[in-house]
Amino acid sequence: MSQAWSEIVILPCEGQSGTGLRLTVPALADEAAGLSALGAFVDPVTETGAVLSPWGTVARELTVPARTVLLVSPLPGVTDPIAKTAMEVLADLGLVPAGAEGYAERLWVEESAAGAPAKLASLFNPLIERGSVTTTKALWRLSDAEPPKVRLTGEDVGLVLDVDLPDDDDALLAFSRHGVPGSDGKGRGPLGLQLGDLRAIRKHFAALGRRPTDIEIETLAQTWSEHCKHRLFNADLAGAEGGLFKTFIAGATKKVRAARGEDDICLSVFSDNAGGIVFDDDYLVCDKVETHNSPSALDPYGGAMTGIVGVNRDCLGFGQGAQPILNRYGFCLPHYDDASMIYRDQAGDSPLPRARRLIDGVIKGIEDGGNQSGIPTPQGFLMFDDRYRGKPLVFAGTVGLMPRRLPDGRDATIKGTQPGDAIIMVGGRVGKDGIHGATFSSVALDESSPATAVQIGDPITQKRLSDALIFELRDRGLIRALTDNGAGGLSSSIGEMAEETGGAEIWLDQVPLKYPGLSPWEIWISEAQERMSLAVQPENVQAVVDHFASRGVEATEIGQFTDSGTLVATWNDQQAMALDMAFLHEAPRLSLPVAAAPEHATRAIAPELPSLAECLMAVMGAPNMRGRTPLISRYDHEVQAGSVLKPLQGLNGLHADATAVRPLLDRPGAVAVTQSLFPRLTERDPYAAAVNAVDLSLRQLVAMGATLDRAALLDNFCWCSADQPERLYQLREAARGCHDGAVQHLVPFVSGKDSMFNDFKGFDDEGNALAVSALPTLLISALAVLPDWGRVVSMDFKAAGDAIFWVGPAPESALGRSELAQALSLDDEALETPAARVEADYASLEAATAQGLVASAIAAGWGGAGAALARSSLAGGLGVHVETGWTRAQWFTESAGGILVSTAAEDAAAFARLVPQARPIGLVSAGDSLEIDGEVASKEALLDAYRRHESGKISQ
Amino acid sequence: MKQPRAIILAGHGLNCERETAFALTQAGAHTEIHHINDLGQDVNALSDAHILAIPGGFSFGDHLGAGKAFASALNARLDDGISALVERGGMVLGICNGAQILLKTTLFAEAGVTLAPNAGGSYLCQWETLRVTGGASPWLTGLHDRFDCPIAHGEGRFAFAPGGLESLKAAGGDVLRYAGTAPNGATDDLAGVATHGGRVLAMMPHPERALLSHHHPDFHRQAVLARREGRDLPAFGPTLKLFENAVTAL
Repeated sequence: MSQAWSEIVILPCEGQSGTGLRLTVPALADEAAGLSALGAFVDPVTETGAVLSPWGTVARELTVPARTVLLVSPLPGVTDPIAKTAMEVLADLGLVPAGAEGYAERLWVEESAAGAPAKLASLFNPLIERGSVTTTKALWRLSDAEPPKVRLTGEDVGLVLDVDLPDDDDALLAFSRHGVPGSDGKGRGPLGLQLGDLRAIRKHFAALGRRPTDIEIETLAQTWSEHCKHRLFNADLAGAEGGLFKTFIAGATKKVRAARGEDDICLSVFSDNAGGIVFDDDYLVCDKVETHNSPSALDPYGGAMTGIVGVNRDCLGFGQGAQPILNRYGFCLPHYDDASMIYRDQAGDSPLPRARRLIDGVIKGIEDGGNQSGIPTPQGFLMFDDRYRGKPLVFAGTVGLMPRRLPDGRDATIKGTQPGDAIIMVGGRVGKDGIHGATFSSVALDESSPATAVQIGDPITQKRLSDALIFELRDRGLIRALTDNGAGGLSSSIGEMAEETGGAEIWLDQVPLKYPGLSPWEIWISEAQERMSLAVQPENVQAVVDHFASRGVEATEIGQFTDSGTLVATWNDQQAMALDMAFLHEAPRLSLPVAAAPEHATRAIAPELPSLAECLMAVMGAPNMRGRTPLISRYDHEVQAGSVLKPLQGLNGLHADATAVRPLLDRPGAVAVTQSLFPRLTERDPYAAAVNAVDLSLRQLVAMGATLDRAALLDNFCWCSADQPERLYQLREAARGCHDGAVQHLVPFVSGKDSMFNDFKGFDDEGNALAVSALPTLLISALAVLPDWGRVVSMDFKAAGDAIFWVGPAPESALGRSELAQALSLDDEALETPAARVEADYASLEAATAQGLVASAIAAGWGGAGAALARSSLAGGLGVHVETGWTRAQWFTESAGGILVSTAAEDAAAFARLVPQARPIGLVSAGDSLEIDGEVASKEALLDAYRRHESGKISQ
Repeated sequence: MKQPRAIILAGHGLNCERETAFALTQAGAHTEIHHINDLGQDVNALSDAHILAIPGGFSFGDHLGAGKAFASALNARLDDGISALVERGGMVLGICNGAQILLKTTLFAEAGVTLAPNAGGSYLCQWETLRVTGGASPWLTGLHDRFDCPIAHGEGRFAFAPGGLESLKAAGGDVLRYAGTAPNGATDDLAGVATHGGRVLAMMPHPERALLSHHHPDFHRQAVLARREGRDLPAFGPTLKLFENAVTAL
């Protein structure tokens, strides 16, 4: 007999905005139960509703006006947080058994049927959801529809397969491309293994005298993936023998730490989920920036959301667990008005989302992920370029706070897993979501990219986990070690933790599943979200499991750490995996050729530029420069109540380059963050682009009042076609630039991440093959600790009569790859690009800030000195009168090193004495215009250009 | 004077409990943060508490509509305790998600008022100027007539059943408004409503995020100007008074 169901329908009343719901739940017992559900779910003022059951109907109203209704619901097996909450409420009221499952459909009520199909299509993503059209009348009748269920069938479900590795190389590569063959002969999805890897695996198992199992192959593919092991970044390259990471990134940090000596601020670098530096004597802060590019290309909303909640887990999984105190985001996107359709397949059945939908989706994903987690999201950037149409770049970062020592005296940065510790998986259950995510992000996006690589986030489940971990369990000493389940799922997290003890044994049949029928290899590599792995002493297991249960979080013992030297997995008493730990963690090293691109010969003709006013208008209204108040308003940047430097600054609220928070309201310390990137310049001069990005991110920190002796850097290389020698050359030069910039400023890199294949290979709407590679993009993120938040300086001019200084070298005149060149479509071939500048020194400005002499400061970055001057002026609602003798090109070059500062008139002399490289250039005025070198720009017109097409508005 | 005991609820996605506790501590209360699941186990949990604060957050992800799921849990566990606290003269504050929850508890059961999705359709985190006006609430006694405070919500539009607004006004429960047009389309530009003589206040703006003077968006300009004039800026913003009122009301 099939199960009986009730349906709970919630609809906004006529005239009310908002969406409705239909919940399908195990049949409620009687009318009293129906009324109880109605009371809990239907708002008596703005909503109407009905509970329809086999025994009859209870409803707020017996009839409703006839309307068209659009329904959208998750595909079977896709995370359904609405249903989960509904079932918790019903179980709490005693109306359904605890743990019962339901199904949720979201409803949109439409005035008329016309246009319903088009609107419906805009509401859902067919990779993860389905949509249908019905009527209010139909909703008021019990439909006899069973909620959809995942039914996994097939001959190899639940089996461990032995794998035959082919003898010849071509067959081996085909095996890697298509994946382990199932019993139907079809591959299970790309493994991303290199030929050298495959030969090493074949040799290893030949020596053992047995065939590998499917789960062993999958584990090696995950662990050796570019995404997890950063093979390219660690490969030998000419000019970086030993690898880019060791030579240039870790190499720079080593030099900086040695030079800083006793004043070294690093507490944990490169070895953990994030990098940690000193906050004060008792606390540290950690930082990590991740990318979620491939998932966001397929499902912008889910990809960006799991990006931000995923990097939150890097913070939760740092050391003994850090509290997330700040989120940052960054989007490299196609232009809003790009109407092109592109497809993964030639027949046009698998479209990528349109640009508009992509942009709206990623913005909304960060909004929901950040806001629902209660973490302020003040810091971010937007960059638009056609080359991000195939693979957008979605950066998500989290700063965390952690005590340096736990109450029991342990150093909180140390993990400390011991043999015999239980392995506890905590958080969400495991499903097919995200299978092959790690290997998928290591290859180009094309037709074979698996849709199961898409993941849906459930921030509230993670928030419960986070609260229990950080505010309740961590300081009780019950947990020995923990880490995040991210890319690669259990295979990566347990594999990493097992390195500490030298082995582990996992009971895969004990792992809680979302639905039955998963095979052991899928359980092991699933990237189902909101999960972490813990190491717990056996005597504490029950207390930990019970505590999580009391918070509505599932925790399950799934194995134990050992010192056997082997990673073992069992499945119903059968051994499914026995991998030698040493072999697992020794991916063969790659050795790759680099080739310099042909020298770029510029004709270096000084461009004819329009008036300064026209240039300023063009730059302030440019896509990367213009206002984004609607976006900033959608991201809660005030939660935790620590704001000391906001994303919108000055009386007019212009968006800023630097933001800062106080993580502890009873201590004076603050944490400041900035971001910088020059991807267009990277194509011409990757070294200069990297050096100048490091310089700009640090200059932005100095401008807002931080000092570089307490600053740290993070790198994110999002490259394209990184197996090509020319791209590898650019990569090496960019990494060398990171090194030189960091060493010059004596600021260490503490964490980083790379993503090497941001390429799309597909088809246009006529079926023609199409390839779009993202710009080679290096994002530099910086953070600094301010011992006292009182040093913080905002970017807006404060009062008429204040003196304006240019601090730093006179700007160059190179306009190549600048915002102005882009905005005016200047001839790229005719323009020189800015030089790498490594000799900067900001100590005197730091000293002037300490003395309270700086009223405002802004680093000249995108848009150069001109944009910096306009932004300080517009933010403060004040005019300027300046004389520099510079050319128009000098006002807009994006060369490095300059900071625009204002001081009180009476402080000007003291400031000039203290800061030798400061040059007085004029005064802040009460006027309506910016008077610059004899030219005049209207304040009002500039503000209008800045505001006219603001980013982040909700599309209609 | 005995320090009044304030309970701040937590759990299931509420997330402003620590800064709300900080504000009440600064105001002189003894504060305790409790997970709703723990309080539900203890029938005497609120028996010697004087202040109950339901802080902001995203309880249950707003999956069923803001506040519904948490209110259901609260009604099932603490209904009697909260009623008793109010009857003995205690003070109850719901901020943002806490206000959305509070309106769905029995304290507001007959009020015919709710919080609906913002008229503009999107979440809004921005500063607003508020007006203390209309009815009276001991929470708001002595505050400036106008003060600035941030909002951060997607469902902050006060909406009423027929006659609900009139009843609220007649009872003096229309206590806090936006000084300009409500950014979320709220009826009568309401930002906060109260009941039980004003001792139970549900407000959408976040007073705990305007507690310190550096919270204010104009702080840096004000600080520069004050320094030039040889003045010190006060450490606290206008909303400290709101939290102090809860302590002194007893």
